[in-house]
Amino acid sequence: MRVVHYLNQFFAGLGGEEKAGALFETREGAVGPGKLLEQLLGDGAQVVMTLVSGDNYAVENQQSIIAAVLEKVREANADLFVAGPCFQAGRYGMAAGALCSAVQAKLGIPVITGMAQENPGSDLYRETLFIIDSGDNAAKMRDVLTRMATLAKKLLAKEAVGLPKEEGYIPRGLIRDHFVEKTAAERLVEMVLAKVKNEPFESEMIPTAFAPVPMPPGVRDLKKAKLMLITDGGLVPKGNPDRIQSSAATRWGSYSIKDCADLRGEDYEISHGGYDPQFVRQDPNRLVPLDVMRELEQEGVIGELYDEFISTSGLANPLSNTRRMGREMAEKAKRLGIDAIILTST
Amino acid sequence: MPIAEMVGANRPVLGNGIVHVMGDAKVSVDEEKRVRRQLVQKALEALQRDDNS
Amino acid sequence: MQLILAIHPITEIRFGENTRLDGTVLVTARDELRRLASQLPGIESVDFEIVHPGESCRAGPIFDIVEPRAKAPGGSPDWPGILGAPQTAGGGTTHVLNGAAVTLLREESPRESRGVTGFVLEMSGEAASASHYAKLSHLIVIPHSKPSLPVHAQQKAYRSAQLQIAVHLARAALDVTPDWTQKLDLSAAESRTALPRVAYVGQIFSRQRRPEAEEQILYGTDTEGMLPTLLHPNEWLDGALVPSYHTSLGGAETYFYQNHPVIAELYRRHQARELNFAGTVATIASADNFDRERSTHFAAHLVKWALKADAAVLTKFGGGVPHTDLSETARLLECEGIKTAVQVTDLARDRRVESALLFNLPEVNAIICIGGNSTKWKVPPVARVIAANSGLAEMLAGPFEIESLNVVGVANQQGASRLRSMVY
Repeated sequence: MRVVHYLNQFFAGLGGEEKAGALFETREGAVGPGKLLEQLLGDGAQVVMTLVSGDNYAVENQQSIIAAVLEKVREANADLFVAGPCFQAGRYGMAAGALCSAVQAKLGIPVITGMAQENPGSDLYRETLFIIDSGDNAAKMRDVLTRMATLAKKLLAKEAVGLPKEEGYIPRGLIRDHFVEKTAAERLVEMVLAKVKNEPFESEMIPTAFAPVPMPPGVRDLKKAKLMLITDGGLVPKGNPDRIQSSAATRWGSYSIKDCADLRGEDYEISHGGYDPQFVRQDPNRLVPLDVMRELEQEGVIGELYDEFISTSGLANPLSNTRRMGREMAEKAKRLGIDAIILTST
Repeated sequence: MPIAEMVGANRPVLGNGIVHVMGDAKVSVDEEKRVRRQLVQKALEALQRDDNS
Repeated sequence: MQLILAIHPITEIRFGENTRLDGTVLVTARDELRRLASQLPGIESVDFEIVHPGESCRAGPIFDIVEPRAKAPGGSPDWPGILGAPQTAGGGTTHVLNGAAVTLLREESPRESRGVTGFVLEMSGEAASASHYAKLSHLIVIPHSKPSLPVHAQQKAYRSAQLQIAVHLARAALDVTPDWTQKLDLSAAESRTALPRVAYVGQIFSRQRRPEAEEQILYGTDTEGMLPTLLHPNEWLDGALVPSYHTSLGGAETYFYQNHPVIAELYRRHQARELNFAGTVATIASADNFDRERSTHFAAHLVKWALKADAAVLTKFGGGVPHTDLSETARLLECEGIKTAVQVTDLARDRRVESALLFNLPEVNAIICIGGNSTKWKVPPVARVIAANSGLAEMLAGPFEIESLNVVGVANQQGASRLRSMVY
């Protein structure tokens, strides 16, 4: 097994912060923790090349260092790429994450790294990589490298990888299905009994905390403002020209309401599987309040209504979809100089 | 509404039910339009504020 | 209230001259069942098939699965509000043909969000090993309803036919000594004050959809306008409830009301003196905020003041709105000092933890998560496909890929599922 190992200036023995600007360099064979890694991998594993860079240099020249590493790993004909472990060193973790994900994506060989959960590299790369949870104590090097080597060998052998607790990696934030011995009902009652008796229990799912969205200041002069209507209630022109899916939609559309004072039921349909659409079908203004917006426009209460409304379907939709679509809609609104948006949601 | 609040959406305004968030099928056409206008006006008021109060 | 279940284990169903029990073999007669079904409005004719565990067989789309049970004279009626007078279910003796099922098929694909196949019964292979239903002997009922029957009348006819056939079969056991009996009551709870009182709050419908005209869900009523209602656990088990026709809401069958996994587990631990089963509340997911506030507060109030519970377990019926209402009810209970655990289904189609839940409430921190979104099977052609017409049979012929959510019983929301979402 041919291994290429990436280290920062400190673990390669060049020095501490004063050497953080050290340029990217290549060394033959194992260096520092690489020697222990080689031994733990066993089976004739050989660290054929060690790549070293100063932390600042790696962060400031990320693109060029990725290109250089890809070239070296390819040249070395490596079976495995290892970076770190980085413990709590933030810039080191960022570089290790970026390099591992580039090697994994471009060269398709197994990669492994290790860092503390608090390392900023963990946040950024935990979903794409197996990152062994190293904690912050570099004295635990042997233990961390042991888990890295064990998991790396599993990845190489294409064996099933266990759960984070079993393997010691940082949870990737993904879900997979397992068949378990106890029914949901048995687990449910067991869990509530533990909770009521103040015994420890482990929830099977983790709620997501949403960072607050910074709030733009209010509209100062409505009479001059350009407004836009958006809905996630699935209102689309008859025939659903953009084929917006009625569930877990990946697409959204923007539909002309130029010179329309009102939305008429016969012109539209609903692509949304999560509510009884008969009322909106009768009168789409019940979802997209165009009639009232036009009145307010006429009366001069608002400056102008943009002459298209945006629509998608908000049902059973994963955040990765909705986040992208929201970003695309926001970009469009920004480009058009929209001041404010009323988004109606079912 | 509870979901909008939970995910921290800014300036949430409570509509009139899932099936006709900006209307009311139970009242006359004129009355329904008045309901809708009130809801839109509430949204416009929210848009002019600098916070979620 | 005391319910005695008289259990008759069934290992095989066979056609014969008339309906009777022959040891653990349930014998029945096609003509006899046909005569029974033909008296029902809306049904033109009925076909029957028998399938056993391990058989190379697939049937679908499934309307519902019912365990054959019949009430001994002197107790509450069979299926009160549907077949019998709407009197309180759950008293007296009920004979149970344990191991048998009456499984009725639809004549059309249900579409909605359960996809074109609807719910499918797999009797062999990997998919079968994931569902309790593959372990049962099924009398499959294939209805042919009268042409141009409105949808609601058709579904009502399905329901009546299925329940009547199931009761008819089980009546063969009324004079037979059961293998064993199980006594279900809550009387001991009063004297065992040291044990925590645990309640069950179960959604039985979601108002995202309107019930069909004349739909029968709780004691034969459609639940419109219903407030959360106190039910004795025996009422769930003994015929007060059937699931909605709306399959998109998914994951509930009559069989698992009769054999309710949550209620059974609470009873088991009640009898083992690990808790006091305080009772249950049947509730509905809401259509709007007014409804949500009213229902969730009312349910929490019943758990606190009527059931005087220390803890509660909650299950939902359907998708997103039920999920939110479930969490809100749990939050209100926690605010009253009542500890909760909730059972949800995984909503993350992108397989990311961040998409799995529709709530983030610090108090609602004991979560059981049923998986389903990342399990599918390639199912092979089988020796026997049972469906109401050749078009449906062709659709189910195999090989095709089926999502676990479409195999009946796998992602059941009544507590029977063994499919778990794991975070990794």
